[in-house]
Amino acid sequence: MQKLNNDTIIALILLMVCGMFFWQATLVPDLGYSSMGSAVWPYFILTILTVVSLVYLVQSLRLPPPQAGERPSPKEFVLRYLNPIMCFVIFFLFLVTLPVFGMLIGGGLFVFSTLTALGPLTWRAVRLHLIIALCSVGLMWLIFYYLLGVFLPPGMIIPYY
Amino acid sequence: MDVILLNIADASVAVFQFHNIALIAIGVLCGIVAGAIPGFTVTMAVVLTLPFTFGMPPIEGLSVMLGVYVGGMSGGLISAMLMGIPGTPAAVATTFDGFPLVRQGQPGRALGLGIWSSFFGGLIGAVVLATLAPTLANFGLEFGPWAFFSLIMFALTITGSLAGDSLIKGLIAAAVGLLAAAIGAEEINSIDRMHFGIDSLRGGFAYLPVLIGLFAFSQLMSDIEDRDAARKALIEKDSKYVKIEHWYAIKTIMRSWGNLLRSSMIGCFVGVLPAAGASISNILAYDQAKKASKTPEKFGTGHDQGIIAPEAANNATAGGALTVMMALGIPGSPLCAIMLGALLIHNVVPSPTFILDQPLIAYSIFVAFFFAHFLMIAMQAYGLRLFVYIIKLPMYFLAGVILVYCAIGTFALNNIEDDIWTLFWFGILGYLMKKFGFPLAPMILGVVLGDLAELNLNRAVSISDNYWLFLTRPWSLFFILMALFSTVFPWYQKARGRRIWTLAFVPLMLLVMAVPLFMMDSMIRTVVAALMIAGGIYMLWKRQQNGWALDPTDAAQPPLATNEPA
Repeated sequence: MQKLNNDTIIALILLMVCGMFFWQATLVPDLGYSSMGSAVWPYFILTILTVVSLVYLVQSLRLPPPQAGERPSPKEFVLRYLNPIMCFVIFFLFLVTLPVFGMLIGGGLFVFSTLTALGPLTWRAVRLHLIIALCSVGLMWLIFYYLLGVFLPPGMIIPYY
Repeated sequence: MDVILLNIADASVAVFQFHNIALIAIGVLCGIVAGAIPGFTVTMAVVLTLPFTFGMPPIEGLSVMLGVYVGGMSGGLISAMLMGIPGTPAAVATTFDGFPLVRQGQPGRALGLGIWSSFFGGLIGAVVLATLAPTLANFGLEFGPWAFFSLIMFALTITGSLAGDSLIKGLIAAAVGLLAAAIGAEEINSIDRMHFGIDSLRGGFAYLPVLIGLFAFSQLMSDIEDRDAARKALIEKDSKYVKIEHWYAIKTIMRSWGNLLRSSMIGCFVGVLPAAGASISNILAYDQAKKASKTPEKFGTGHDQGIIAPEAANNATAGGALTVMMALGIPGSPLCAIMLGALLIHNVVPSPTFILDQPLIAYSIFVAFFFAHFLMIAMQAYGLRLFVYIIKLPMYFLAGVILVYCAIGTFALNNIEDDIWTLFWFGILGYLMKKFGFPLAPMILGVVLGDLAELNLNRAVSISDNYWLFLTRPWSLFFILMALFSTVFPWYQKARGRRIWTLAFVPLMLLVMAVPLFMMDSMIRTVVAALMIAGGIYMLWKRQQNGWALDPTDAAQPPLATNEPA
């Protein structure tokens, strides 16, 4: 695996994905009365995707393998992409806890956590993050709830409507 | 003509309602703010506005989005001129002369020229939209399902080949977009497919969460990647009050009407082309203005003409892009794909019959687009201090707030929490695709056009099981040939001036593309086809006369490719 370049790994993943979807396409029932079955279009797309992925694989195999030190270590990778990783993790936690906290509390917690994770850790900054979280989510909640008539997820803590 | 004027009058009554004007003004304001923030794109601004328009009637919802579109196109000039950093890719060429002029102590003059050029360019684009769209729609009426299917394939291949550095990656992105659209409930036979037994996949992905995830989420992650840069203010200089020199700008632009007209037409033409957009037109217009100028050496030093050209072109591009979307129902860019999404949300389906069937909505789009430019001028003139203040905020403030807003907006679409999960997964996918060099534009078009492509393929097969009709129907053949040439185009672009076969590419294209035109039952098209053949033969003859000698200056041309839509 260490000798494969990124393109080769992506091409192999794509081919595996194609295989999985081909298998799923075989499970699509054929109703018989339609001139074009429901599986025809997926087969058409998957054939194209498989062919271009194979071309991509062949192209990638012609490229030299990564040199020693060219690929970052797991620690270097995490440090390099720390901000996006933190955002994705916080967003994931926000989604998992959404049924409990609801959009108002959960959204506020999400904005506060994201700003605090991305920004400087000083008392002044944290206070500012808290104000931004409360104002931004509160304002958006009011706009959607009252102006647009959208009932955002209430959660279990405050059944606010 | 009378019908057009009557439709415009009806649409004006609908658009010029007080609350509608207020909504367009809010849209323009938001667009300018988003356009002014480096790292944001107009597409992202339009995506983020979409959730607010769900509950509005079609004309109001579309008016807001057109306001954002127009505002975003002109907002990029603020940071381009004041900071030297283009707010959007559509304002790249604006920095070439705008920034030097500001550094010479003339910010009022630079901003005036930029704002008024945007205004006039946009108006020319609006006129092109109102006059060309109905004509183009008449062409669209000749298309059968074969031609529509081929047109979609052409749109995908040309976007795949032009949207990034690698044709294969572009095609993979387009195919992945089509695949994402094919998952879940199939419309024609009402069968759930490829859902892996996961209940939330049975209904398929609503494509707006997919678009917001792919575009907005992944873009925000890229913007905050650098920890230090994310914490810094986007602009750190103290901004002084700038008095915009309106009269000087208007007089200069009127004197440079040739440059204005040429640049606007370049913008419209590039807008009509699938996959091309304002990120290309502004550079192309700047280049042409420089070539046509008697003082090309002044370009790059703060020359007025160097500001007029890109700003007129990028706003005019919107008119061209909307023309194709409204006339044929095919979005040529991610931005138009999102506009198409906005129309579909309001149960308006653009197609060749759209302008005939729904003249009030169609002409309201023309009028709102036209009128938004007047509001843009007013906002730019009086709101400059606010825009400059907003771009003083650090990026991470905006990222955190916008992410939660994406979640709320996505939920508001169908009131389903699963849509927020869709946003999240496609946000990760979009970010990874960007990191590994896969362009997002073809995937976005694939997601939007997937169902339409399947529907037209199904219709074609239902009418006749003769697949040769894809090649014997003139318009279908035309688009298939265009798709083939667009696939080869990136190789041509790279090899131009270095390989002998490239000398035959354009003449061959002219000769081959004449065939479907000959097949069409029209005298004008036969004449055009004959001219194309004559042109192709003449070019081949000239190259034969030159002994098939390569012109090394061709190799120096920059590639016509863009990684990011405007």
